[in-house]
Amino acid sequence: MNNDAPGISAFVQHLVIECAALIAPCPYRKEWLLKWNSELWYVRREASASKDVWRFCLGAFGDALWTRKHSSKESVGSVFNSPLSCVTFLISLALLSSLAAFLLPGARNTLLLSLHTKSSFYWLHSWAGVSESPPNPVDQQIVVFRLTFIFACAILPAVTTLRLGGDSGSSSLSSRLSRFRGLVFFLLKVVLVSPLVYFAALDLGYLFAPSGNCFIQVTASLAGFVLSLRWVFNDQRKRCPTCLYRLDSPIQMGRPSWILLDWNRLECLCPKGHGVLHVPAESVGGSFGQTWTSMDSYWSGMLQS
Amino acid sequence: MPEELGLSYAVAMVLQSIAFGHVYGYRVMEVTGLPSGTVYPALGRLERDELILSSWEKQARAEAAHRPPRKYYKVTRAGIAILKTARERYPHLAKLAAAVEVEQV
Repeated sequence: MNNDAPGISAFVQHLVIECAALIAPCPYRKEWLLKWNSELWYVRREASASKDVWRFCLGAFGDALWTRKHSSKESVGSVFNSPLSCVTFLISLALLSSLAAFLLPGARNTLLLSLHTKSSFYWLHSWAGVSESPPNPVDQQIVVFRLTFIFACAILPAVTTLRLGGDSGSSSLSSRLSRFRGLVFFLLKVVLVSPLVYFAALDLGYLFAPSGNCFIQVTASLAGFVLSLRWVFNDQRKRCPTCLYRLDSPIQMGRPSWILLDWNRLECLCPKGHGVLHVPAESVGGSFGQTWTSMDSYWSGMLQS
Repeated sequence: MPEELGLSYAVAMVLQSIAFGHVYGYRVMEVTGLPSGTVYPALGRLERDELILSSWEKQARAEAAHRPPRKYYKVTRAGIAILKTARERYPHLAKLAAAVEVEQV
């Protein structure tokens, strides 16, 4: 019989199952969740130790991945298709990495220490130029983390272009609203990858050294920031500026030898039919060749001519 | 036959435990000693290959016992045929079967 008090642990275990359910494809998710929640109820009652229940919960990810891999209805990329599922997935990843930090004894002690130390907002003091109290470990990590973020931002132009794309050139109110919505979604992704990178770097640091390896944490957070910010920019460019859904149905137009005739490009369609994105295979002179054609203006232009 | 279906030892163990009447996921985990991340995908795979069938317990029956309904599995004819071949292919599987039989007695 599991001696764990019902409450927080039960809630977190259900949360882990819910997070895993996000990986399972939509048409099967309801039954998948029903099966795992039902089994969890019995496991919580019959398992001899709480670690067995946790082990059981973590196995849900393997099953969810298997279900996704072997279901023909949805592909893996569909987790990111809608903006809502993308945000939910990032939140669940951030929650999972924070959960992992609380499961590792060293990281947990460091995080709990920060809650009991008055100087937990030292980084705010240091930002304001006031350093009246000594920093605690988490404060120091956050300062280092902030520096790695700035450093990653400096490196970013070398690994990807910083243009977000999706600008149709229109200055109408609806177009401005779409741009604003796109910007909010972009900033939300940046905000959500930050705790994910922080906790993942913390987990890695404490995984390889019980006292926390600063070098691993700095390297992991820097690499994590560069890669995640690169993904954020790339993902934003592959979204429809109107509905923010991921563009699909990529069609290769032309051949590599036709580059001078501007026919070697990839065209992606918005799943909601808002427009077409043209991505040239090669950008000449480092220019940002990606262009978005709104379907409505395209058709109205056709009708006028 | 198991090779034709790509039936691994772990999947064969899961099939065998269901054939022995351990008809729900957690019980299969307990009997085989396999983790949930192996047992549930294996159940999914066996169901996809129509070697087992799954059915949900009636809601009313579960509610009367104040517990959630359970998903039960049973081996199909094709599953039994495959299991016979799997026992020849994996001799350890037969030993496990004997051990489980002793445990049940």
